Amino acid sequence: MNGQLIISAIVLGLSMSGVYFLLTVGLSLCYGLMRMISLDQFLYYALGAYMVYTITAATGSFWLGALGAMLTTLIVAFAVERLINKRVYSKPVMFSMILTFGVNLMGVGLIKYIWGLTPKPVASPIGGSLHILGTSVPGYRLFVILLAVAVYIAVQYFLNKTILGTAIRAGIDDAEKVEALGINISRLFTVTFILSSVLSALAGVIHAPFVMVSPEMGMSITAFAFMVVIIGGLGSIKGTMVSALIVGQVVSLGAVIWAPLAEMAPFLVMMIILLIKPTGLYGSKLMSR
Amino acid sequence: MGRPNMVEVRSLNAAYGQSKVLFDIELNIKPNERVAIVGRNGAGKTTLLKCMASLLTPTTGSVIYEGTELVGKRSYEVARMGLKYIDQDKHVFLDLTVRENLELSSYATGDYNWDKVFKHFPKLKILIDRKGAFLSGGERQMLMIGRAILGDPKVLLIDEPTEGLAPSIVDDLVTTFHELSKDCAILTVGQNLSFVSRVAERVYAMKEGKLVAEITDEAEIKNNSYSHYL
Repeated sequence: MNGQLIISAIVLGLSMSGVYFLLTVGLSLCYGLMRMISLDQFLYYALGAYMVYTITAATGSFWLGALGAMLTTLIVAFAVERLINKRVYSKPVMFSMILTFGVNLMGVGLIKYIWGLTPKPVASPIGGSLHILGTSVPGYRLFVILLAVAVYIAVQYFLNKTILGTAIRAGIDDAEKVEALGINISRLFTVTFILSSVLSALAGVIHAPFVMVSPEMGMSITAFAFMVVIIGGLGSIKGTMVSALIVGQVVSLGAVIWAPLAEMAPFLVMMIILLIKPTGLYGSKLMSR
Repeated sequence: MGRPNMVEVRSLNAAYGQSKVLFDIELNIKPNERVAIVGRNGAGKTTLLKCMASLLTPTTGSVIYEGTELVGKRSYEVARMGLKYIDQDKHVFLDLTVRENLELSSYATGDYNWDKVFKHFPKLKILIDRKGAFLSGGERQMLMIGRAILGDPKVLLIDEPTEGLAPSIVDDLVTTFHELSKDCAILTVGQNLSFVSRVAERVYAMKEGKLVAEITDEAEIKNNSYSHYL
């Protein structure tokens, strides 16, 4: 095993971690605040990828496509939250799982109807590469890593330094008591859901140049996304980031060591972590409600 | 006592599923009055307060606050109207500092005048950057009341305020209740009859979901001579 291969694998793992983080931060926030397992986040991930494909093909600009994808998702997520999801917030978590899984399936069906079954390619918007310790690293992968770090900092800033973020953190602790203070928790739920969905769409946008955009792309990443959320601890943004880093590296380095490890090793890591800390790395008793 | 009622609870019934908890509750509170509801565990005291704060929906009956029906309103609307509920579990937001806890209440009410909070609870100023998780029971109670008085509420519904508190802190609470009632009415519920005797001007005795007596005689309240109702 040579050094260049290891460096390539680490960079690949970090960029995958970026995608995992963007996709799972929404899942974590939705569970933290609304106590819902929002399986429709995988639909917004796929929608983001399809919209960036479509707009890029029409305008020639990936960046315009990225913006359009996030705006489209914002509108779709707003409609889904207001018309469908808000009806299950007060119900046991199983209701939200089934309902949002249904929304996901319906959305995937619509994607197949609109775009067909043939996978679509999206060209990388950043060409060229950088040399790190003698290893050529694609510029776009570095961009994805930096973007994920920037989003992490922005989300942390939003949650810790703005009053809306403070309200969300308080709501993660106890939503009823936030409402008793005079805060409209329903509006807070909407903001959180839209933020989560737009981040999921962004994950789809940045992942699109790495993969062929296909209707089932959301389904195929589900297992890894749940691993990230569970290892990190539901409701913890820091945990989600750390967990995404672990899963990305385990998948990437695992594949270098022995190909089947890429699929197996993350599950093994999850099992070990859960045996030691059943709430996940950064999960707390707060999340037991 | 010619003052009009600020809050009127009329024929209020509540249930958890098939289990009926409150039976035809009739209750009123006048401005700046200190009222207490006493009763044993499971009597329905907390359920009544939660119904009044719209945290629970009664099966029938009404809660009229300054002429407005509260049943059917969301709890945040009720809080913004000036009727605040402080629950018994001393729950402040554990991950938030005292400052952030107060900021949330200020954000909800638009009232950023924290001087009145520090006037009642000067200790909170010292603890301003401490997280809720590291506050003692008494400090949490201070913070919960401090949060609640932002926005100048007209009624405070305080559930079991003395539970788990040291006697010296309970003494301070007595003074605080008297001070607070200069600006708003207080309805408190609990089992600490000694505390009730020192703060309440009027007492309702509650048993098995019913208000079984209303005690207005000062001597009776001071001597806890209503305990046979419980």
